[in-house]
Amino acid sequence: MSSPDPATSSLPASDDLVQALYAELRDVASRERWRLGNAQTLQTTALISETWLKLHKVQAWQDRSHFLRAAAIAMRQVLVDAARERYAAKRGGGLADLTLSIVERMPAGSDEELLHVDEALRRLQDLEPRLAQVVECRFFAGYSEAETAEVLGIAERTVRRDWLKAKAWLYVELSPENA
Amino acid sequence: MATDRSTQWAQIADLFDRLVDLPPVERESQLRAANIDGSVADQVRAMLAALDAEPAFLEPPIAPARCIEPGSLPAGTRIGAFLVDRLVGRGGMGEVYLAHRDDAAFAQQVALKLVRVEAAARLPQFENERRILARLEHPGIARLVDGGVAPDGRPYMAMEFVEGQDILAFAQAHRLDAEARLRLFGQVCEAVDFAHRRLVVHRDLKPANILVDGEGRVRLLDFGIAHLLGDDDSAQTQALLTPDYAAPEQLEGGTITTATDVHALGVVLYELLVGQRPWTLAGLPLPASLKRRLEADPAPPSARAADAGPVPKSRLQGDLDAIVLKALRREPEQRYTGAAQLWEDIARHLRREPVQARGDARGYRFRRFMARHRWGVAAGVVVFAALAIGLAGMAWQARKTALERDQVLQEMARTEAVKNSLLLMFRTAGEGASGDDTTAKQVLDQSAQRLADQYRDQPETRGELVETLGSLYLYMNDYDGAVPLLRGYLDDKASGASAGKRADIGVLLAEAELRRGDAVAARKRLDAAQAFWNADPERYRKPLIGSRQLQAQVEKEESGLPASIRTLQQALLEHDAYFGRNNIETANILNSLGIAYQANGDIDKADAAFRDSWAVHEALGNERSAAALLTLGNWATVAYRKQDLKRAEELLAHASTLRRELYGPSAALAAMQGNLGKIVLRAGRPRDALTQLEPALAMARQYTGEHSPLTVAILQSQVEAKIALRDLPAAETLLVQAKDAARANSGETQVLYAICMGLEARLRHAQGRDAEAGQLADRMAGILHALGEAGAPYASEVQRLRGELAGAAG
Repeated sequence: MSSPDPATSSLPASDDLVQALYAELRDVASRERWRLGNAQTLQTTALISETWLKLHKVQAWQDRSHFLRAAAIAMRQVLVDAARERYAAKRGGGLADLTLSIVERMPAGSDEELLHVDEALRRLQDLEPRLAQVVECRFFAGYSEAETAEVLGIAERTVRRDWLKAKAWLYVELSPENA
Repeated sequence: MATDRSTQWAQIADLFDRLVDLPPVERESQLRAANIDGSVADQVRAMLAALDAEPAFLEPPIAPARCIEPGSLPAGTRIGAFLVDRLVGRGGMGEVYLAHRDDAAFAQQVALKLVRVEAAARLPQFENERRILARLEHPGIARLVDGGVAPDGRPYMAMEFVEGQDILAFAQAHRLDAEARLRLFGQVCEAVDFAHRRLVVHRDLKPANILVDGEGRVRLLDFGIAHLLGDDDSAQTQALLTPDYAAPEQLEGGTITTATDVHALGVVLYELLVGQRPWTLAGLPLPASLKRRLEADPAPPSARAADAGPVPKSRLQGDLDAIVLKALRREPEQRYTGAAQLWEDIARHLRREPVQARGDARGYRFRRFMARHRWGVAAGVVVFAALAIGLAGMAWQARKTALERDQVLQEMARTEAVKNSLLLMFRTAGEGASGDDTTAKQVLDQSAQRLADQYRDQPETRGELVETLGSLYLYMNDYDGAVPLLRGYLDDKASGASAGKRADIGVLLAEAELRRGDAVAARKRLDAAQAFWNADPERYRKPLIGSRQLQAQVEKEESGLPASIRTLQQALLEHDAYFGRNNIETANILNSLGIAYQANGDIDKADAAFRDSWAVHEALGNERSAAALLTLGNWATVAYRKQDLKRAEELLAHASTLRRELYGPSAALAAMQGNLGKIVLRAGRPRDALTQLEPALAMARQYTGEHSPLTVAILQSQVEAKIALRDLPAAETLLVQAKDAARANSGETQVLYAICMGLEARLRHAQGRDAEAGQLADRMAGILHALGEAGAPYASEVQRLRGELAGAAG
């Protein structure tokens, strides 16, 4: 991992588990790098499922929620790290590989946007940790409202409310006048 | 400051929650009315506005593969011999363009697929596989027209462009009935089979890849493409993107074979017949749904058929259910081996011939059932050794009769599951037995041989089936049923059975022969099996060790207990070495050894063996099993014979409680509680004894009959208890019943009646009618004396009685 993430260090899923998942997700994601970079087009749940298929035989998770919670945290780290590396490389003039650039015609600034969301999310975490967790599950991991409710142990209604609130707050936070 | 901030946030969050569902006008009026800080109101206002302005912010796109950007190639770009028209699709694997041949003389539209750049690294392989695909010239398969490398370095393929509807939409639009749907599906199978015979697997069959043109002809798209698009790992990811059609081995990254396509065909057929997929994973799968998918079987099509579905439920029940489920088996080797076999079975169904899937479903469920109940089968065999406990002073025949009947009843309970499973199997097949009072035995008899014969041309399946059916017969103690089946198989020169299978089945036959009393035949079969295993003892250690118990039983018949005991002692060493001490097999050997020691009069050794066996059951948490119960009963008998009444009582009490819990009332429980009552009586607690004897009597009457030796013996114990309690009228009544039953059982000249005479003597003595008591004691002695050796064991009883009578008189 390129940098430890203080925003996720205090969460209930164990660090070991997150690290194991991080390594595995990173592996799968790097193979699928032509789709990486934009959480909205990346099939994150497919990656998480594939990771589960690999790991469920060797490790016994407490339960499904436990696994999914850890996977959401790890997924966020994988995506943010990938965006950070790519962003740095582009800025630094690296990655001149022609073929890669053709395949990876991501909307300009999508890496940057992801990094900004991640930063803003750390601030939201300070305000209300649960909202940040909901974003992790919904946005980074791609879980549905029902799944998110199960993973976080809260009502589906609460997830819906939190999700609206978090999105609205992040949008305001990321709008130019606040930048 | 932090506190200020969090107070402020609490206000913002609260207000936002209250306003978010309101119409904009009301939001604003409430915001103005609220008594809050201006910056809080501004923040809430901004957040609400953001939601309205950008509802899609951070939301996943509605269609995951939605094309957000323009294609990388503008119209008119030349790729090989083709000119690009427009982008028609974009997904994980790359881009698809509609293009046409740049050749005025030859108009041709193609679907041009530009694949992900990573594939460029494996160009030689790619070329190779493309050549294979180019050979797939079949009217049902969209042809690979051309391929090469685009100027930007991406490999491309030009496929024949097919205009048509996907198979589901076509069937729907033309309102096809069941038969028309099956025939349409037949075209799909034919095309897939054509590829399979050229060793090409599609890997990604789904309705979107199965088009039907205007003339009703099926065309398959993208044959073998999934394989060309990268390594097997990414094929797994691909499978996860459209998991509804993927086979378990694709999801788990296993080996892909023609059976993988069969699975996908099964899903398509399911959807074609039912209107729904067998699994609804609702978008992308998460671990829980994947787990279900990997571990559970889908519901049969008929169970999911809706009233408004394309095919009526009644049409699906039976053949079509069986065919679809066979295509969808989780284990690839359990499915049809290829598309041709799948279609053959459907064609059989259309011709109203028996389908293969049905017979197979029986064997399949059978094997699954037996695999789950293997321990139960083993325990059932052990149970036959039967309780070694008998009422003190009771004739041996009495026990035998009671236990034989009990065996049947117990077995009925234990085989309830077997029976249900069998009936289910045969009912599914619509042949032979039905009706709830059919016994498992009848079902077996009616069907075993036929089932085995059906697989005459499949030696392995037939062998499996015969072995399973034979085990089942043994489990039900039906040796006369087992022998012809097993012998018929082994003596069939044309069976094609492997030597290993012959050994497995031979040892089953040996057991059945022995139970039928033919030790010579048993020895012959056992020797043959062991000779085979001994040729490679390392490899066959397990079956070899497993056959020791049977070997010991054969030896007992041949040359008596000492040889049998030596074999069991040796077997115990082998078990300890191979399985370890805490293993159910080891516990069973210890139990057998205990029985042999006991029969041989080595009471202390028997005691130790049963104790060790019980300890293993305890260590394994296996106390509540038939085998453990048997050991406990045996151990109690030994304690009784060692005159350790206290421990015998403890053990028997434990055993009878367990037995009642596990099997409910039965003859064996009656015998056990009868024994327990007798022991408690000996210990001088007649009242406690009656609490065992009374329910024991009811059970003995119900399960062994009014006049059985067990019923008589329990009545006699009750008489003894009533005398001890000085309830002489009750003793009198019971004695009359005991005498009647004994007389009905074996007349007035046998042991049972002699014991009644002894009891009557005691009763008369208690009533002060000593002269009569003396005469009755003489009569008892007379009967026993006349019986010679059979009466000898009871001589001490007569002595005891005379002592009591004389003592009271003097």
